[in-house]
Amino acid sequence: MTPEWNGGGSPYAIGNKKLGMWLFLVSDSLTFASLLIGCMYARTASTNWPAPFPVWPSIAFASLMTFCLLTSSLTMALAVAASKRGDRRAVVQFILWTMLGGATFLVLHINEWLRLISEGVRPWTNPWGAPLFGASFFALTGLHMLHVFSGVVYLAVVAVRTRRTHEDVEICGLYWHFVDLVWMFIFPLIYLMSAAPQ
Amino acid sequence: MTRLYTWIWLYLLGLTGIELWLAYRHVFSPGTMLLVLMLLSVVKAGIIKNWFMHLGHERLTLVLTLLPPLILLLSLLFGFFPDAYRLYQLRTQ
Repeated sequence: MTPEWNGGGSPYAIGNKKLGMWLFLVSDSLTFASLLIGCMYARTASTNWPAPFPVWPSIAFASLMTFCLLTSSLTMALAVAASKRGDRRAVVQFILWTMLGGATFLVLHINEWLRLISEGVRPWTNPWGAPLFGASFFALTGLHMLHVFSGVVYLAVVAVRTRRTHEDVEICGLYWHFVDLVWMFIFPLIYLMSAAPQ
Repeated sequence: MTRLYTWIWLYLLGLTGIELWLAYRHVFSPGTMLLVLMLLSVVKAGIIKNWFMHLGHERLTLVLTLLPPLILLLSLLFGFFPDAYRLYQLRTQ
């Protein structure tokens, strides 16, 4: 008997783990979109939104962080390609490079946080203007840092697992590329739009 | 595959470079700058989504399940901006 509706068996034609990751990523993108729009709302409504990021060191380091994440996305894509070939050694090597990119990003970003905190930025106040600047900056970048951190842990787990399948590598690749994708919005909206005038 | 991914990486770096240059030289007024930066970001996100996350190779059903919630949420959230603008006007009066 041929089914009348061919989508009935497996409408998405992907495994349940991968579907789960995609659904998580879409709900996560809703969270980030809401936070970004919230930040833009506060900025539109205020008359003195600060522009505290000078080209050196803030914008320069943020660009270096973008470079780290983009490069780690490249090595992650290469890890997935190696996994498809069945080259398990290369998978582990590329995942380690990806983790290095993520870890460098975290170190640079924590450094940036410490610099802003030492300049007196708090979630409820800052030396330059609209108090909500600190709250939106720390909430957005903090949530993103948490994603990078859990991504590095997740990559480590996938790298050391001996019984991983190609699908496992592909799914953690999806997560890692998503973290990179979100940064592609945070970097211009938080940093470039608040670049200090020369 | 390595060649393709390296090219995509270079494209993404190039687009980021354009964004940086725009911010460094303060080429546009803030409004236009926001529009241009968001356009470039959407292009970058599209490149990552299609070539790194391979969403283009999945079934259309999956794409049609994942994208509408995001578009709907963004449309609803943009409804707040007239209110933000009203607050701004109250504060400047």
